[in-house]
Amino acid sequence: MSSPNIILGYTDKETVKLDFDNATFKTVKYWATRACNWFDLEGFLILKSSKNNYHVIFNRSVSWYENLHIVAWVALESRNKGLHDWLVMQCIKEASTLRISSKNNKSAPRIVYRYGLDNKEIWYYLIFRKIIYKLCKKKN
Amino acid sequence: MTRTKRGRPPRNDAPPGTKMIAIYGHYTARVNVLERVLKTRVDGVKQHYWMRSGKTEIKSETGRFEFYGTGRELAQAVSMMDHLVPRNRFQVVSARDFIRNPWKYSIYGHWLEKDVQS
Repeated sequence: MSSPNIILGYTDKETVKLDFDNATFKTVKYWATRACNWFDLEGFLILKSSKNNYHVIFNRSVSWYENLHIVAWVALESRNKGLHDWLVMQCIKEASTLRISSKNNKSAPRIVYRYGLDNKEIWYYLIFRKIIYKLCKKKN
Repeated sequence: MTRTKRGRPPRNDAPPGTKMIAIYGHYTARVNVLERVLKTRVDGVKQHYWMRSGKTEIKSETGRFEFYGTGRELAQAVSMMDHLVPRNRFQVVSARDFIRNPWKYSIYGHWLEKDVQS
């Protein structure tokens, strides 16, 4: 059976997620640490999705309003165009999504940095990641 | 457009605190399209109307499914997605409901290998 070209992602409203495009690891780490300390988000995970593209996931559960507040603050302060566009799209969808599976010629995002606690939202994310990896393996 | 109703797309009605799997991408599907039809009004005047008269076309567009449910239901729903594309462009649905009645939420189509934003 040939695998269809579908992309699988993780969606929810409670996890603070960031999607940095065209940013160095140093920049991403700086903004993740700053947001983590400023909003007391307990910890974060940085994933590299492709060259100069990174995803950040924070540990603390927040409401959708607080989630938007935090992501908008980072998008405005960091002046990252990719993050800004991504935020607008998530506002329209009313939930935020990050890719987990591979996409065309890009491989699946891999963890490059961990900081602080990972017992709440990061834990859920890692469980879903495992489920989706299993599904992708089955399909291929 | 595969959307049947005009206006705002359906809201994200998943219960609060739900974690979902998003399935998204570009696809092609055969969809009903609007056709300009000439009809005679009750006062005898002939007028053109845009109607879905059964004419279909193959269209390419982006769309997404958001599934929520248990791991087993999610796995089953994702495995059914080989030749199914969303009926509405943005569809939030319980994996259990989708497994029970896939044609309510999806139509036959093909997923394409094209870049798409998350």
